[in-house]
Amino acid sequence: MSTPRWIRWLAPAAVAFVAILAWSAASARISPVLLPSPLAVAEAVGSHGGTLAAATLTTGASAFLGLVVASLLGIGGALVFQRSAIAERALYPYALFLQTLPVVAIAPLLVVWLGYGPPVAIGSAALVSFFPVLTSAHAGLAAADPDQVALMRLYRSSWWQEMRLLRVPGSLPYLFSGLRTAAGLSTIGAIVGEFVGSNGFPACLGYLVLKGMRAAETGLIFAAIGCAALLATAFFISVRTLGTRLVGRWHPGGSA
Amino acid sequence: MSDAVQLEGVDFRWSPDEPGLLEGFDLACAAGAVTAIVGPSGSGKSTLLRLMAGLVDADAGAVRNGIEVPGELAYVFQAPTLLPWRTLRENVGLPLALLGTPPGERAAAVDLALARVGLSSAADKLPRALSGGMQMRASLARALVTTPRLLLLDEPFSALDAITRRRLHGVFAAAWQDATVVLVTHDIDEAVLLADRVVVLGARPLCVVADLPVDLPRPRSAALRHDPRLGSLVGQIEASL
Amino acid sequence: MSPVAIVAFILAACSGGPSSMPAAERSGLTSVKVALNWFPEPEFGGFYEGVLGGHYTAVGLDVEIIPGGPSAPTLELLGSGRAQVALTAADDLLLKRTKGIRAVGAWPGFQLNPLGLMVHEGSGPADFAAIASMTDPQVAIEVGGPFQTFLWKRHGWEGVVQAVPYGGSVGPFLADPGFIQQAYVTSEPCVARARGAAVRFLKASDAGWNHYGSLVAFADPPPPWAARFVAATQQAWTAYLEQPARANAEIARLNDQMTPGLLDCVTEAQRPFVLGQEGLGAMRDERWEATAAALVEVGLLPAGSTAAGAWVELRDAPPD
Repeated sequence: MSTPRWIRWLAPAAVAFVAILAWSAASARISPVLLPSPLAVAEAVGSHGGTLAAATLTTGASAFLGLVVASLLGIGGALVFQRSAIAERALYPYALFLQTLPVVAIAPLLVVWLGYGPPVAIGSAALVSFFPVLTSAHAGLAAADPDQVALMRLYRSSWWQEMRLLRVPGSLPYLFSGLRTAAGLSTIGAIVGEFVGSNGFPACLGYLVLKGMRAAETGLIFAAIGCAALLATAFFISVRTLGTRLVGRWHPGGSA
Repeated sequence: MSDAVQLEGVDFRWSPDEPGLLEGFDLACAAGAVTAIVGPSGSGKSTLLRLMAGLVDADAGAVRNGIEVPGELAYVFQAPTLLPWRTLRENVGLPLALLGTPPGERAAAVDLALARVGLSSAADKLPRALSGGMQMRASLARALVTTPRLLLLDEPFSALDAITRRRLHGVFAAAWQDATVVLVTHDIDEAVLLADRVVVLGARPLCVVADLPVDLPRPRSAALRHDPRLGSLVGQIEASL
Repeated sequence: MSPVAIVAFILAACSGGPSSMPAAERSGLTSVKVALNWFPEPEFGGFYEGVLGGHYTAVGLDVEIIPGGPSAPTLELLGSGRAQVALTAADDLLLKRTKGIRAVGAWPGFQLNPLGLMVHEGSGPADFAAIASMTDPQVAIEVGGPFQTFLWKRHGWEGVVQAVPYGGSVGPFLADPGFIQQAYVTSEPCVARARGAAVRFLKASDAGWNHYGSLVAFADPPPPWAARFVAATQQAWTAYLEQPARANAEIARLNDQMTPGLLDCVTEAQRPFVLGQEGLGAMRDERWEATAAALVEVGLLPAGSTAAGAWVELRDAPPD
């Protein structure tokens, strides 16, 4: 028996309700400078509403652009790797290296090259999102059924025909699986970049978290974090919807 | 009748660590006839077919299939290998698209191929909307769309249930025209029903243990299943295995 | 938001900071970008006063102040040409010079190092020496940084006092009466006081870690207008110390964390650090060499390093 529609909405809402109750109880015991009560967070949202909204847009735009850059580079890299095994062997370690690069170490470099704020956030978001897109796209391209490849070769297909007609469409479920991961990571990446690379102009979520920390306004910190979570969720849902739209017709579930 | 496919002194192994699959193997298949190749699983029948298709190269010896132009050779795999994101019409038309056939000509050939296998009404469906048997028919239609001279089939019906398989035997028998056909199968009844000649293979290294002509009248009908001549041929083949 | 709008938004935001003033007349003025090494706060008050009070335009300089933040790479911005003046600290300048950054210090905003440790008035240690004799002493500090290395070495705290990472928030300090953390006199003590805590500030300069702060640095060799900039800065800071209201209002506009109460507290708290014993903007050879020696002591500079060539006195230089 499939879940009735109202239960699907009620269940997460009930969990949220219980979570807020538990949070309220916990924050009554813990100093408000460490854990704010739900009320304190609501107050922070009320008094900083405009700034939070603007900051969310700024961080969101940075995360989005970072994701776009990471996707272009990741898909491009996967195409290169598919074309040339030598290129893959030569370049894969560097892709891996980028993955492990700590953003906090290179953010000052990005500030010097690109200036404060959004450029650093975009670079940082792209850095953390790149590898999941690269590996999922590459796995998708390589996952073509060998018999289908053989079939195309029988008709003397060119490499480009093989890619366009077989490998690229077949790789989309895998790609979207990687994009879903990257969607969440890009928000985190943008905010971490903002921690070290933002001077507050424009205001962004990373800056607001730092500001809240310096002023010990934990309500603001949690409000900013809440906005970040909403942002990441919005990205995730967008990517998932796009995946379903493009792929759901023939691949139920929208991604591999 | 001249030979369409010839293997002479062919050696093959998949990798240096493995024992030889084929050693000095010879086989010739007549043009315009249906040759069935039967043998136990793992004997290397599929590999033999791939060698004939030129999908793999022999380590030594000669493989000739007389194919110069792509499209003259068609191959049907054990699985339908249809592109899940394309309709049947697009899937069946894929070989022609690869060969650069103009769209008008392509559409006509696709419609014809679909009609030959009885799938005209399902032309705009996606593969996942179709049963296994229908997908296999589509795979067959795709193989036929370029009107190939040489048609190689690798156990095309083995994944299907008995009823669907029987139906497809009928489809195949109706759809086959003058192409040279090499059909690999482990179903002896199917081999005798569909072929003009049955070659029985023994395992590693590959060798021909029996080679029987099938003298049953064409066109082959389902009624032949109960013909005692078919039964006796099947018996002879079983005995040689 | 359409993709075009998003990109335009980002590019517009990439200016790196707001102009502190409506555009001055461009004719004949040299454009100077000043990169701050923190957010806009009273520790840079004199520079804002310089812009608002026209001190810089009076010497032919069109100054734009670019706010910074944590790990603001001001000297590197100088090197890449994104800024013409970098604010830094004397110890940081010496370290960066050994890494190949070509910059010189020319004017200190702070005579005394504004860095130190913040403890609770009643329940905390009276001075640095008292920390070691506490039970299970812990200090929240930038672990592995020069200050931490120095303190532990100079006071023999290795294995005695534990260094824990400082998270940038005074929350833990407010929650724990025995908490000790690093602090800048221009920031944390006033924030803590505003939240009701009674705070004592232990000065790094008392511990032997005394470096010029809010230090104006130019590229090496300094540009021809450097002396004018220094002269105007000296005047502007003098004006700011006398009447901080205008610059502080601008700072509050740029940094809404700076409430009036906080501004007053910081402006007052930083005053003795700005003036020190020598007065505003003074630089002496002994102080610079002491900084170099302290860095050698903690092993950040090779033995025998001096501050020679790292700084230049421009206040009496003939105007260009």
